[in-house]
Amino acid sequence: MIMGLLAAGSLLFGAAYAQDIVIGAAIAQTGPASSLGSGEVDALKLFEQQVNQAGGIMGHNLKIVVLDTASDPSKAVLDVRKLVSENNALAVVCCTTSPESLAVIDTLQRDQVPNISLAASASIVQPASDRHWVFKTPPLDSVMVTREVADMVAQGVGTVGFIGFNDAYGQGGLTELKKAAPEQGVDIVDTESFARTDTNLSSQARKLVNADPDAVLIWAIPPAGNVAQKALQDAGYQGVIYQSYGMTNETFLRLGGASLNGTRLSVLPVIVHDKLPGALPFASVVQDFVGQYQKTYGATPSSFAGHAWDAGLILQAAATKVLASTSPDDTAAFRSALRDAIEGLQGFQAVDGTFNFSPDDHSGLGSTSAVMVTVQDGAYQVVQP
Amino acid sequence: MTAATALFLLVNGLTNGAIYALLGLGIVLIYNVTRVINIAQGEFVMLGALTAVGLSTGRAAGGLTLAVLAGAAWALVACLRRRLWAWLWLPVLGGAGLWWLLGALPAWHLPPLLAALVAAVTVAFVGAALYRLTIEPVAGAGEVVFLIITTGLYLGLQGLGLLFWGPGSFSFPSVHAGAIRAGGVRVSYQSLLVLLATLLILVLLWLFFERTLFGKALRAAAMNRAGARLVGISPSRAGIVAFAISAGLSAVAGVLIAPVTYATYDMGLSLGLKGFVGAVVGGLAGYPGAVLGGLAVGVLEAFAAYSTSAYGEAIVYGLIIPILLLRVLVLRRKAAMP
Repeated sequence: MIMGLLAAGSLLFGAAYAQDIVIGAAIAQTGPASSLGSGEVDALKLFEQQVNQAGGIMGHNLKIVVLDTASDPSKAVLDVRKLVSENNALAVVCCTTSPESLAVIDTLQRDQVPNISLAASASIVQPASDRHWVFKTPPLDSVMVTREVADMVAQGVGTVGFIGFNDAYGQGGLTELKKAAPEQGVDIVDTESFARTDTNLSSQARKLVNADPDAVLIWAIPPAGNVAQKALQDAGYQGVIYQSYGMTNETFLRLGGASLNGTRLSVLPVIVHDKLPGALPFASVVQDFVGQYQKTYGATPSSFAGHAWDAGLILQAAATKVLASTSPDDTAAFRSALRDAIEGLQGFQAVDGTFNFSPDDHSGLGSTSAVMVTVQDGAYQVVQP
Repeated sequence: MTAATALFLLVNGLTNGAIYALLGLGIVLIYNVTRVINIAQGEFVMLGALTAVGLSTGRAAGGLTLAVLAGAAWALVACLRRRLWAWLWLPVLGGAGLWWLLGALPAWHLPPLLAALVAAVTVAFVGAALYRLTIEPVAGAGEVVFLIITTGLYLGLQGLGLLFWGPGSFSFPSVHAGAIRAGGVRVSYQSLLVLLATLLILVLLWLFFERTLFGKALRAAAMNRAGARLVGISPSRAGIVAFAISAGLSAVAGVLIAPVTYATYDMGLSLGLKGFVGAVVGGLAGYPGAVLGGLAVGVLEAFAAYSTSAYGEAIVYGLIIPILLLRVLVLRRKAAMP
């Protein structure tokens, strides 16, 4: 009995001293990207709760510290610095948007902290030689744009116009369109851009309508993407409108309403979780995530929540591997080992797809992560290939 | 650029310009009567738009809560000023009671027109109360102090907007979906409403300032504060009315523009600044100037965005410096003439 008491005492003692695994998260909870960030925070909080209820990561409590970047790249840098120096985060999840994610790269590389970004632009993880510490969970915009251009060709589109943000996300989409369109025989007749905070896009819409393309590709996030589509329709555009995978949350469908019927976009598998072919190797991970999210929050998750969940899954898998040899007390060594472990993940099934990281590829997702859909009556219909 | 395109841009520019004109009018009115440059003008637009959205969709009617709080504070300050210690319980309990009542009432789903009217009246009241609480106690201070105070108001109101309605975007129903074709250009009913409403408001304001006694008293207070006091016009009351009218105008502008650009808690700053640019272009003195300035800013923005895509706003804001320089040079020349 004394041995039992001693054992119990040492367990309690040990448990009390098991260091927390602290992950920092800098998310845009307010500002123009807030409709993306809110889903991400919900997913991170749910993930943390789940992991700790199941006993933590190898007995260590998971602690996710969330700071609000207000969709502002400068604030994102300050938040990340705070997470790294004050909270001693072992890894960081930053950020919601491409401009913010690009802004924090320097400081994270200097402080040698692994980062998983939830944003789209390819330049976040390319060139790989300059992005030793940065990974990302959303598929590369090249994957999504190529899928949309392939659909355009299938729809008989010969000319395309483009309108998007004048920052890393929008221009990333344009760069990929400029690569993918000529390859597949589609001509770009006009490109327009606007600032994230612009609310009046009628002039740009008019210019596009004058150019009369068969299709227009809008590369933005809600509500700006909605404003652009509305401006095009008000300017009398009759062709097909394509949106980006940055639009897939409930704000897009709620603000657009019936005017969205016929819009086409390539989305992440989680958006059409109930129509996924079971043969996809990651289908069960998607269903599990959607089920838990729906049970807790009473709503289907946006793709952004899926990106955040994947960041959690990746960090959990990497940390599990690292804890076997390194203690979280040694922050620098743990961060480095964590980075190596993430880079070594191969065939990792997650919500966004199957991740295959490598020293040259810190994005890890391929074309199975892009599903083509159309919007009909406030819901997405999968386009059969 | 074809004629049809130019016409399209013109119509669009005038629609947005009408909104800037309403804001510019509000700014000039407040400046003339109280010498306050109101940086928070755009926030009244936001409050108007979001309150109307809240009243028509059953979401938190934050503007009403704000009105109750502001009204209670106003009554409290009045009691303290007049040393009516026995009456202090009235604003405190009354405010608390009304607040509880607002929370206890079932979610309202007013028809959009009624929601817009209630929102305009509420925001007008909030504007007057904010003047009474923040500007009037330091009525004799310089213009820079007022500028700083209104900047603080802008920050506070934007924060309250975030608190009451969250960071999301909301749409407000148009008066009538659809459009008419005029000269080969599609003009939506909402645009027509904006232009007509602005015209109507201008006519009403003109009648108010020219034909009513109180309107003339406001103009007198604007021209000479001391002289107005000598003939019995209370500058405090003039300020209250000026702020009420200005805030009400901005709220109406917010309700008019919300169907087009979606209402969100941070929509106020850029609208307020563009209205300010319009007012500056018009000289910050006369009302016709403010209106023409606002319309000019809207049209310039439309054409600039057509030519340069993302730089439309930058060009509009960049306009302030040459305009101010021009005004200084022109005024100096006028002053130098005998």
